[in-house]
Amino acid sequence: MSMRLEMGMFPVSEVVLGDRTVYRGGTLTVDPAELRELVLLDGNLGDVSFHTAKPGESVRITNVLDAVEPLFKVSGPSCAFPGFLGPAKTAGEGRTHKLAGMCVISSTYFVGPMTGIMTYREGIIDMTGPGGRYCTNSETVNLVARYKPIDGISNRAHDDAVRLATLKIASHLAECTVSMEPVQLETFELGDADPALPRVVFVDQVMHQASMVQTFLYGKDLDDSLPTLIHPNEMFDGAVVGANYKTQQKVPTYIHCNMPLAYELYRRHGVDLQFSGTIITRGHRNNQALKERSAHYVAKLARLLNADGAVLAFEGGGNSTVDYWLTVQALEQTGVRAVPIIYEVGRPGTGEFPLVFHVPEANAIVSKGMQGDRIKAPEMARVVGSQMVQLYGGGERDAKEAFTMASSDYYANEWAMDLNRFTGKAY
Amino acid sequence: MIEKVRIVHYINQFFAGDGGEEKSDQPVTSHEGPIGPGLLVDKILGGRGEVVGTIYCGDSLFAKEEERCTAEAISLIKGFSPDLVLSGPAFNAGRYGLACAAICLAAIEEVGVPAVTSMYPENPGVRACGKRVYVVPGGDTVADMEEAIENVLRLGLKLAQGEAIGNAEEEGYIPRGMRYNEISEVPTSQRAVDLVLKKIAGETYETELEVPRLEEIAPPAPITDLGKAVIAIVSEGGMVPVGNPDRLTGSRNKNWAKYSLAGKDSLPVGTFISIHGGFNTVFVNEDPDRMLAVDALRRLEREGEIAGLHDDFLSTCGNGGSFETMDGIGRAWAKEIKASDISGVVLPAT
Repeated sequence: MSMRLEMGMFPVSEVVLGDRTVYRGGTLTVDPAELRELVLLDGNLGDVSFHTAKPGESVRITNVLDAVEPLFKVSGPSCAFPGFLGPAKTAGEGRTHKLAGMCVISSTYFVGPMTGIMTYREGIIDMTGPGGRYCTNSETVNLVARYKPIDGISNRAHDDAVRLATLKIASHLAECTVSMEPVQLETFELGDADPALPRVVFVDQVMHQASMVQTFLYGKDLDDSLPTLIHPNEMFDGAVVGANYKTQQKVPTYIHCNMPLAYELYRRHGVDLQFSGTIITRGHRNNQALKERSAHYVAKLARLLNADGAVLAFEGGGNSTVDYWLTVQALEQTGVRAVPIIYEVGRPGTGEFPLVFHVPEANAIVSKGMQGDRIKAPEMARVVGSQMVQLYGGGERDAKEAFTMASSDYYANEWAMDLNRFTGKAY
Repeated sequence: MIEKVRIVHYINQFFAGDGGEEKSDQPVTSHEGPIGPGLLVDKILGGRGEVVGTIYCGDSLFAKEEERCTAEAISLIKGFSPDLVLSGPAFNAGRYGLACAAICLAAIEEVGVPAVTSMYPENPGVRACGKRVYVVPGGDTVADMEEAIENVLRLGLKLAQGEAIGNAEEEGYIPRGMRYNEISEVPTSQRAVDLVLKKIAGETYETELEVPRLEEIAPPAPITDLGKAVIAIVSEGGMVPVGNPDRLTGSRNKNWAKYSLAGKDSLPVGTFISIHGGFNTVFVNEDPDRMLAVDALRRLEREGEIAGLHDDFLSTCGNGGSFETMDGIGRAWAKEIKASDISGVVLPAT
């Protein structure tokens, strides 16, 4: 029985603060007092303020945690962001309304001690200038929720509170369209396709290590999990929520909800392939044995789906690239042709070795570009978030000023480069 | 824009018509205008340029006296005031290919003139060209001469005119070992799906990333008598004394440091911390022996299982480390270790 999701789109070209929350003709008016009351209700946050940032504006957004595209389920089982905003019933069916082209962006700071990987790494969004294509959300209309932590609160508790508040805001905003007719309606259903067409699966390796480096599936982190099946419609409804603050590698929630490979396979289902399934797994598994177990598990799931081929997405770096390549290897050895998308760690023009790890079976690789471009980012008229920022591995800087940024300081840089079609070329 | 590009053509004694192997000691010789394949070069140029001079030399002589022959060739090349030096096509002739590489390198570096060559991709001359000289790939036999010349001239003329040179695939040269970012016209996800469909169908496909081959290193034989062995600890886990006196960085680190374990039976909390930015350091900071296992190795030493624990601990941080940097550090450590009486190394890794 196939899952059918109707996504009702309400394109947003402008967000303004006003005295009520309403969507009209592409403009979303937002009542900040109403949102503030909603967010502070649980008593987990010190305060919140709201700010807007539009593409092309001279604005730099700092201390960014997540970017969430507003979703609200108007009919059908479950809810948007299931496991967070409601019970973890299977989503991906019925009708969901989406405020398309905008994001609620969470910006905050942490007051507890940070060590090793359990550290927030500064992620910057430039709404204008050459940095715009190195970060996500320079092309979305943004409502920034700037949160203040409660005195002395642990980082974990603050992180959880911010996440829940941001998802609540996002869903609440989309809810204002509940009785409206969508401007556009897209239907997502994987119906019957010519059985002679090749069967392709999407393997999504997401990131999980510890607090500050997490991904949630139906409200629970992926810490002790096996690779598992998911329907792309569930992802479109917000079943996968990002909570990873390794800024360069991270996947913002709105991209989990709009995974390019899922869209591409949907587009071509019945045309030149059959979109046979989606497998979600995590990287950074704790030792070699667990990495191998996971890699073979993914390959086995692909085999059970009768896959001829797999395309893979990767959120991670370093140690988790071992998980990724072992997965490619296990798929190939099982007879499933595997094409991974990966970014290159060798910096442009240096001739540095491009990968952290590699397997000989991976002879069909898509490159989403190289780390290490340096960008002359201009001075900005306005900073949303803290004005003084600590860049990863660097000192404190004034975020209003012009300075030369490493691509790795930009928010969700690896995914911006994917969406903006960066690739590495041999010279 | 140069109206008519002046080209000096370097070839070997065989293509100059002097003879084969028996004439490969032919000294460096200069000739006005084109000879042999140079006539075909002129024809294909069709007025866009001309071979104003030809320099040739015997392959054997060049191989034996590369420096002297190159110097002689260069001073002759200067005399022609060329806009471009073209050497070859060398096909799969190894000594000829190496000579072509040397001539082109010298033309660029000593005369300041653009240079280009053509040869079969497996010719050792390609490697000699390294990152400095453009090599246009050609076939491995003389039958491929015309196509090789057409292709090498296409790039050569661009170089002579000072035009910007794009990536290897679009310009038709052998990649020189560097990569740069570009923006594709095709969305990333579409490229991935296109590629997997080709692979499934058994069609020819091209990877976007050719992974360079790594040097194969044969591991040495295992230690036969551990009881006689002194063991050293080295680590890339970012372990440093509190305060990080040598300022190792938590990511993209370039340095290493040496810390003494002399007289230490274990590493309790406060002796070391990890500054590594890629893993959860809380547990290692609570008990550094979880990473470095000095307590365990000292016990093995006391029990006679190993002869001893080396006094020095070699430390670096591998997080985001470039391959080349870490390779260099490994080699430096190997040198250190070989200079002492150490039989084996334990490398706790993250």
